[in-house]
Amino acid sequence: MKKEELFNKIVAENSDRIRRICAYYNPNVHDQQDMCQEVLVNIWKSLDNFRGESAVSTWIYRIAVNTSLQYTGKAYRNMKLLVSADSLHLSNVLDDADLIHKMMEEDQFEILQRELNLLSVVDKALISLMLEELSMKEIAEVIGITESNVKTKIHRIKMQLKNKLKPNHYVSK
Amino acid sequence: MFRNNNPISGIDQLTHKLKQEDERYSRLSKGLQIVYWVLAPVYLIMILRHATEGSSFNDTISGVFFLVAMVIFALFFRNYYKEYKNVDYSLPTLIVLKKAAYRYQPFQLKTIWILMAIICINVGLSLKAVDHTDLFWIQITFWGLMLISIGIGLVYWCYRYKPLRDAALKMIKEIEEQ
Repeated sequence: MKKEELFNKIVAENSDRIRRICAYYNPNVHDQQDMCQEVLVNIWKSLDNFRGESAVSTWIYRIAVNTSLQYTGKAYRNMKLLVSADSLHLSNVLDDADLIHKMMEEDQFEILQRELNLLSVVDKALISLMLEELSMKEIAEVIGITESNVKTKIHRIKMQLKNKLKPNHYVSK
Repeated sequence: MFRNNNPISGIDQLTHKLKQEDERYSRLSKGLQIVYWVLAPVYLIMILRHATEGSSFNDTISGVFFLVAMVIFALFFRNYYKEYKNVDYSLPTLIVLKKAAYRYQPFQLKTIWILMAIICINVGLSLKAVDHTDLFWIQITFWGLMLISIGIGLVYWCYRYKPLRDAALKMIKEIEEQ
């Protein structure tokens, strides 16, 4: 298959993934478009090195996450992770659907959003992959660390968020 | 650069532009190689002509050093450009960050090649010196200019690349710690 055909096929099959990852990191549509274009350019550039050793989805996530780190790297400190109330698999982040539901009801969703944005750049990247419902093994393949290290990090993030989002914690604030 | 109203729509237009970019890069790369492969023998012929026409031994050897410096610069910048153009974003994030941190450091192992080319130019110039005073001023001017160039380069690096390197190193540390 020619490079052009392969590129078009991969992009067509993964357009939703790319769009979602870009949406996590950019508040406005304009920036999302710019980052998506950047991801597409990097897919094209990396296509010559694609050996099919990992799943196409993992390959796409790597490019998307690496581009987001580079793209938002123009302002690392300002890098945001944006989740919406209808984000897929949001309950994965806390392992607590009830807490998420309660926060929605109490209109406290912005507290979750704020706490997510207090996380480090790397933690935000891990959360974005969790929201995509990647397994620990797949996240480890994207980031390039061991599965146990991913588990440890995600457990720590969840604990940190849960503590901060305990009802009495945010009510007192 | 490749903006459309919808990020994923207009893919044909984007693909066309990407292909054009690839072709442009390929032409540029070939052009550089042609310049190098044409100029190097021309320079060599000139050195040989000077030697056979009875120019001084110093002038001939000086020419050889300039030629070596030119070849080193040509090869170095060709590889440098290639390396920057072919950054692979599909590698695991940790590797991409480590490569970025290495790319953005001011002095790398391959900088030795540039130092060698600079020394060749210096030797080439020194061999053309007519006396010790001339040699002294050549050295003062040459290394003075080198120091100023390195200073400007470092200031530019601090402004442009150091923040990127610091951010990459910070992320590497965070990813690697348990």
